[in-house]
Amino acid sequence: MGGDQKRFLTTQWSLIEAINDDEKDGGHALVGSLLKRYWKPVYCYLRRLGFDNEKAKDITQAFFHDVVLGRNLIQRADKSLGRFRTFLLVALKRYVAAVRDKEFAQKRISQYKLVPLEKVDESGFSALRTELTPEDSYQYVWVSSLLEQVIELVKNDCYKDVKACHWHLFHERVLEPIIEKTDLPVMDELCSKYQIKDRQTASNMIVTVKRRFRKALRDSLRDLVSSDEEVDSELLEIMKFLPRIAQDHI
Amino acid sequence: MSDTSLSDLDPEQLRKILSVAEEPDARGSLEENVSAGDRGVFPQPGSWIDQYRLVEQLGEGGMAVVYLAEQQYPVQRTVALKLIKPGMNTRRVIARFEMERQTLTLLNHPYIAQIYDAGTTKSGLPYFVMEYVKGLPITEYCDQYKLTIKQRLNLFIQVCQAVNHAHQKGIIHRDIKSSNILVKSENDQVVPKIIDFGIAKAITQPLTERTMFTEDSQLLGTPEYISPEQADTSVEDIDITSDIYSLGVLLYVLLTGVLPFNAETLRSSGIDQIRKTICEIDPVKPSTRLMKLGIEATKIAQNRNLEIETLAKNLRKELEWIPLKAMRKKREERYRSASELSDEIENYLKGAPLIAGPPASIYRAKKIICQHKSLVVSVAVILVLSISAMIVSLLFNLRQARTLREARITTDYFYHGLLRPIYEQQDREVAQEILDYAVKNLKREFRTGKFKDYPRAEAQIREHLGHAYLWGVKDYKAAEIQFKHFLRLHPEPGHKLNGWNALGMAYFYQGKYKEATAELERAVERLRRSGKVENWHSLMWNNLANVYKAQEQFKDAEQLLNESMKRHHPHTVESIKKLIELYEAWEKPEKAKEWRAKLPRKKAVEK
Repeated sequence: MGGDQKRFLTTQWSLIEAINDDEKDGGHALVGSLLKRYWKPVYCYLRRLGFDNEKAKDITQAFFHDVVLGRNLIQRADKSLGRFRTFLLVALKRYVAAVRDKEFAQKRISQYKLVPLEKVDESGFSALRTELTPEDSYQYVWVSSLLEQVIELVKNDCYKDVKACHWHLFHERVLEPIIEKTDLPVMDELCSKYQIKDRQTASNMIVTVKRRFRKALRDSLRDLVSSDEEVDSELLEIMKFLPRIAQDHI
Repeated sequence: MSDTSLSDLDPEQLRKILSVAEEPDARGSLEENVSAGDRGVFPQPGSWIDQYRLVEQLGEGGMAVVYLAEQQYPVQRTVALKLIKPGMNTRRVIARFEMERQTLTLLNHPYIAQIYDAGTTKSGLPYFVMEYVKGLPITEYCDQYKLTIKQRLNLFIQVCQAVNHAHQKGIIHRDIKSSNILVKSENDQVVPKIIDFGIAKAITQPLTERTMFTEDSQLLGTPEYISPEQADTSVEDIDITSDIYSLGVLLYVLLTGVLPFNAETLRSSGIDQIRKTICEIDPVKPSTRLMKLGIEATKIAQNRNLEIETLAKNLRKELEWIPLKAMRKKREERYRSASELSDEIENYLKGAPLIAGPPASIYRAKKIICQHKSLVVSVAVILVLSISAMIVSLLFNLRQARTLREARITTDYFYHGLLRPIYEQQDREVAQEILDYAVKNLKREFRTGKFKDYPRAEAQIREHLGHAYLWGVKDYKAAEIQFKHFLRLHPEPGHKLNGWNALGMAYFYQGKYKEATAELERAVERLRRSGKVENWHSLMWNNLANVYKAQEQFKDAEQLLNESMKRHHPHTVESIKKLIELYEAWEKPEKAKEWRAKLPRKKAVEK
């Protein structure tokens, strides 16, 4: 358990501690990692809560500045309880309660630009076109952000190992048909496009990336929990969550 | 930030992406075994699993134990509870099931058993709860109630309709087999119920040694029913045509009573051989498979209220094309849907034309000619030239012994040099096409009288054609016809021995034991009376012994083989092997062992 706890502490929570320790130097590189994972769920939660696009962007910026860079998050954090994203949501709810004070919002928000939100287009979030609760919306966008991050990890991993061709093949054959809702491309055509000698080889290449995808997903989840068993629980929870909200999805 | 944005995807798309990580992969797996300590912890009747009280154990397979159970809340009902044995990652199984759960609720068909629930026992084993169906596996039901072919086909149509319903909802079964289709009688109606929809996907693992066999080397699952793409782990996408393949296997069994690939042989081989068999070897035609079964075929025919000959004839006449088309190796050559397969059966029952082409149809012939154009043309040309040359020689130089020998050499060449390599190394169906073509053309020659005065020449050709049909393409009926012609035409008694032997074997492979016995006994008797002894004559004794054995006349077979050994050679390997086979069939293992010890240890010497 000691090892698990140590690993756990070196990830999410300690990242926040490190951000605070590093605050004097700006801490922007470290905070970037958290922002990357959580700004979208936070933004969508706020939008579903009823804030308009501009206000939601502003509060997102301010939340990360005040809560993540500020000391109050760490002071309130109880590492033995729950998941980091749940904790963050609780912190966000408290923060929103404070932001409801119009004067406070006017005074504090607009000066922070931690997240490049200028070009955020609300039409790019399917969660905003549904009847999901703000909490479900937060969870849903967290799942999509997690998968984005996993996909990027796999892609970088492939490029690093000179397996760019593996990546492109996997992307075109596996991901693209799901994302674009298109038919599966013909394997022979892909073989010819990427100069792969036969279907068998191409299939093996795809399997290689699938295995990396699986590992990256589990590694990413492992960073958020304290044991391997909890990775399975997390996955199971996501699997149950997606079909449930599909019913509310337009 | 990532250049792949998923924020705009709907939940189903996200689920699909997530499922990429859950798909079994071809080279190794991240599955974790439940510890060996969990083995043997199956709950006893009377105990509880969550809200289910186990009533009795209904059965046990390689992967699961099935219980009859009573659900107490929220509703009271009798259910079947399937407990998956240790060896799989419980969370993953349940997670996969959860992914399917939503779609499974869409299944609403009277012939599909509903899945109600899934969960995990306290000891960590996954379980599934489903509608309880009190029925027999479809093949057992059909045999027990001696359903006719027509009744079986009507039942099979119902199964296809249910499978088609699931396919339309986007659900593939992945494990269609007889034991997953239970049949019961309900208000004088025979009703099939397909069970386990959605479970196969959850518990499917890659086809590896580990997943095919338990630690006790027991085979898991049913490899005889899985499609080539399921067996080939490099194929990532399994679609509805895999279920079509399995339906084809099921239909094959319903018609013939046996699996397309000998289960014993298949299971005794390693994983690579199993995969090779499923992926590369074409199933034998149902009629041919049936006729090779010997005495078993008679019982199979009786279970269908038919004589063996009638059953074989029914199969040959179109019906067998249907399972063969459903079981094509290339999925695009199978029926495109379960409803197309069902329509095909209905067409057969109505006597309408089938989509599946006969081996000798214009379509098939065209295809073969396209595929093997040069081969077919060259063989046909040489065939015509050889026979023409022979005819001319015979016509002009009949009395010259040398020319007769030349004619013999020519026909031998035609047989050994052309036909044999084709059926041994090429496609058996190509050889069948060529033979049928040759017979059709020769008939004209025979009829027009060119052979009228030269029966020996015709006999010679008939004999070769017969052997090519018998040993090459295994069309035993066609072989029988040719050998009958040979015996009618050949004037020399010495040659008739070969004819009787060959005709006997053609009868034997068709299951016509009475006729086979008569021909072979005639040959053996002639040799006994002649007093001539040559080692190759033992062939006739061995063949007759085989026919006796097939009719369970073990004593007669034993006497014959002993006589053969005394007469021809005391220890021919072939005769010893025949004796061993006989004692094994006779259930005299000590005798078999005794004779096995006399076999030369060739392999040991080679080593």
